[in-house]
Amino acid sequence: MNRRVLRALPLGVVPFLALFVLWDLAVVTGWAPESHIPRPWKVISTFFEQLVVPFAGNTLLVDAATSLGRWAGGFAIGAVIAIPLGLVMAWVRPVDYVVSPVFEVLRFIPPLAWVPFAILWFGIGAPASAFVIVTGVLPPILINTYFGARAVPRAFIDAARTLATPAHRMFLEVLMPAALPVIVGGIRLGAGLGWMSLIGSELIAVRSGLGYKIVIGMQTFRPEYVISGMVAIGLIGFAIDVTTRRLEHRMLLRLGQTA
Amino acid sequence: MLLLWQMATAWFGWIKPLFLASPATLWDAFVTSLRESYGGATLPEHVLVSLQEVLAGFVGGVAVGVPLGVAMGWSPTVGRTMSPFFNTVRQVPPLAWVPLAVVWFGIGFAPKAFVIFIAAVVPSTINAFVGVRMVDRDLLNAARVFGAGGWRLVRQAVVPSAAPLIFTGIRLSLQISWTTVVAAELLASSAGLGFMMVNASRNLQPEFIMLSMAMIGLLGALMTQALERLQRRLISWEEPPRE
Repeated sequence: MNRRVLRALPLGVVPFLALFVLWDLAVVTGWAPESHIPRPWKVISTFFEQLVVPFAGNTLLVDAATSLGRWAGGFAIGAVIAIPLGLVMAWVRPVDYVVSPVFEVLRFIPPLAWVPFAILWFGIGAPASAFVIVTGVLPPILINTYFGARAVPRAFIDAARTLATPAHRMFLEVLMPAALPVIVGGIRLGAGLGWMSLIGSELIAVRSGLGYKIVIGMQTFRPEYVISGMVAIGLIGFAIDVTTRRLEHRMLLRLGQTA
Repeated sequence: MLLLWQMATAWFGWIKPLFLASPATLWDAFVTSLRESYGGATLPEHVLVSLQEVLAGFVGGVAVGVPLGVAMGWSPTVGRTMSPFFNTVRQVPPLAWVPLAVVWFGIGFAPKAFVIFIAAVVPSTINAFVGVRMVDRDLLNAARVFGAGGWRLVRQAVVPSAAPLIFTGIRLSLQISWTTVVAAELLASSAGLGFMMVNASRNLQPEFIMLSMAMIGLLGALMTQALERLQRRLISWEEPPRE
């Protein structure tokens, strides 16, 4: 085929089309049982139907709002703990010596492995889910804040010291702004991981939200609900990613440090 | 730390034993589970189940992801064809695939291997793609001058210079495989470390929850280290990029 023709074709559509055609063919020819894989149009109609008709207790929109709210709460808690802790760890030696080894050990435990403890400590419900989200959000923000604050040029600190800057202003007006570009990167990573942890925790530890919806779809053996729930989860995850990327970009622009 | 922990849980009873096990009970749990069955299997058997699932999904994910990423990075046509699809599918977190995998494959080895495969493909593909894209143009032109073309160019110039990033992708794939297996086992399984955890949580035995968490952390750390070492050995011509 001619190169120019090739370049003009919307090639990105091909795999989607191929997927839909193969998927539909597999069901129609009976190769895949329809009870396991519903036809594509049924998934799409289920997705829109769920916007008004409740499944597993709520409509899709209500569950999406619940999940997003939970994510925002857990994310806020994680950031509020991680940023000050990271700054303090970077500049107060004893704190670093105590927290770092604990953190080094805990960081190899995946966030979802906290679910059983979360249930044991908080019972099934929103607090357990929030706890799991925090364990997902905290590490990337903490690590980035720590290394960001560590990389602040010595001269800034010394200059501030000669001006007899009090400790709280040192943190808020010297360390924090200088480390901000790196911290923002950690916040973006934390936001994504937080969303993943939230979905994971909702599969087990709570009785509402998008994760719970797909589990009920699984237990009642209705794959069309599972798949349309997955689509909603993917869409929101995508929205979170785009928003945080944009925020990061804008903040770096304002600080005059485009990466 | 260890002393404080033992004091808080066992000697002074600041924390109820139902919430957090003391180091001594944790050690007891470890020793007994080595020989006696807990939740249908001994500790080494549970570990083996999880390891097998991780290995199958991880190897599959890398075997598909690296060639896919290299192809997408090397050929603009393949890149334009696959990128939108790949980027759409990867928006769904691997864990959200668990319920569907259970509907399709039931409970056991297959659904976990499937979900881990999906999780492991992503970092391998992305890093291979970026690695190939970042290969030095001058190097490629030099190789072309010496008559390398097509397949030989990819194999002898592109892949070696993209190798550090490809390897980083493989390492990230392993990490996410390990994270995913635990979660998948929490939700639907009859053996493995994640299952051990659920079982312990239902029976209110914090010492067994902690034991499985410790095993998960330990094995995760060991595997990452082993891969880092392998990376240094295999790609001796370049320093491994730090995270």
